[in-house]
Amino acid sequence: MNAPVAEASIAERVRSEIDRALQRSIKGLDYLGSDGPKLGSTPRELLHRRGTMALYRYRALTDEVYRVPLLIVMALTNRGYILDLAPGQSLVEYLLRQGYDVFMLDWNAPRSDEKHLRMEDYVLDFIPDAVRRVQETSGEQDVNLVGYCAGGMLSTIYLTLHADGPVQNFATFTTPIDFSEMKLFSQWSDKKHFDVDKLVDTTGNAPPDMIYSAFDMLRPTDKATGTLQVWDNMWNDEYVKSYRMFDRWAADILPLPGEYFRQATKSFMWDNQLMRDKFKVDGRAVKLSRIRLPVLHAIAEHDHIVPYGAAKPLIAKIGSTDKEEIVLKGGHVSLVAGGNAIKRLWPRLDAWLGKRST
Amino acid sequence: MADATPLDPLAMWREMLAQVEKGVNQLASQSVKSEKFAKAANQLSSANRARRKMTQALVSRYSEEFNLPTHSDIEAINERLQALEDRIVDIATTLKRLADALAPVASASGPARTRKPPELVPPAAAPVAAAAPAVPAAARKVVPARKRAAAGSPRAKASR
Repeated sequence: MNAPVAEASIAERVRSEIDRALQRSIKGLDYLGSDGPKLGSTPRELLHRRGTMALYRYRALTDEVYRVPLLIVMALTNRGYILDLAPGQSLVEYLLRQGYDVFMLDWNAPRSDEKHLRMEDYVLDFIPDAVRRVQETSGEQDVNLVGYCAGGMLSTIYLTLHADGPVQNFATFTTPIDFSEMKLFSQWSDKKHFDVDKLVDTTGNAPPDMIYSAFDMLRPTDKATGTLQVWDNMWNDEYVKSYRMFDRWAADILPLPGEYFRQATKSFMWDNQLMRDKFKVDGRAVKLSRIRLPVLHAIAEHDHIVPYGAAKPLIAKIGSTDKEEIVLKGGHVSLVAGGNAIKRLWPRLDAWLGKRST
Repeated sequence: MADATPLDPLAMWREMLAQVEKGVNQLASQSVKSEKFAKAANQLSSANRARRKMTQALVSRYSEEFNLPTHSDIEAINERLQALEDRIVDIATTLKRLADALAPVASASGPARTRKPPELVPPAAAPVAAAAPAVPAAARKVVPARKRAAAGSPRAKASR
């Protein structure tokens, strides 16, 4: 590079940085004094609510929809709006525009009198109830199921116990099966140090701050570097909006029902029963080989919450012949939401589900 | 992120930040994997819970003394309100279903459940579908969304 060109380039860069610094100061005040962007804005109707259970139906955006309705089962610790962040960044909106009739089984924070809820309540009551209501509302017998994280795990358990049920196809994302591969969580919940009985007996429901801290400790610098990065990018409205959406969702953790937490810790974290086909629900054995319907499992390559090794056994262990695993770039959240998901997961999901929804 | 040049201190600062983040995360993940850490974290967590429980008991006692509602009173009211809301939602849904059953013509005005994926639409039907698409072409495009999202996706959060 010759000298005059280099000087011009440096001058241009300095000008740009001064401009950005000014924008940072102006927009930084707005940032501090304003609420975050509105999340989960796709119009929907609450069909049924029973304590922690909430079943929604989203308003169709097309004149013609696929015959088979789609029920999304959300993870218990997080709010469903991660799948409906904002117009243009919403998986729900995308599915509606592709012509699906979308329902979501989302969760409210369990009340203190719901501390007794166990896995049995989710897989033998809440999910079947939601499926039945989807059938009634849509007038269709067949239902397709989509699960995210623990929502996928609960759907998987439900499917092993309802192999001849109305669910025709199952797509799931980042679904943990082998808990011995969730190394950090296993280490922290090791029975040598972690008295889950004492915790549940003291608190009732597992407190959200404890769950948040566990997620946070997996990537200890995320919060600090995230704050620095958002300040650095304060001039960029889209970046700030996106950051605020993800940040708000990540901090919006729900408590877990105490008995569910106790059961999950003992059966999965301590004894890896789901992987070993030893888990029982209400005395009924949960064997993944009983699942015979078409299954798509999307796994994130850089998932630090449900690592690849923890999610991988699902496809190997189920009895389906029509089954597919896709490993996509991204992390636990960026697999399903944000720019990468729009390019990677969403079209793959649509291509897989569309032909199975007629 | 700006292009890195040897004379760009801000780009260097950003690069340094990325390196620090990577290094600290690596170092921290080694520490948090240790048994010592697990033991200490659980002890701290237990101590915090015990402290919180004590504080709650103390605040409750004072609240009762001054005839003020305690945290559990408010929680109980909240739960009863929520239970009432649940019932209202159920009643509204039942009423809607009854109204739909009584007016089948109106209920049939929802979208037809006849959609087929593009690859299953027979070629002969394609021009008809193109002339009168069930979904407006603009609505089906995700390009603006992709552009908007690609413009700014925070790395730290999106990688979670």
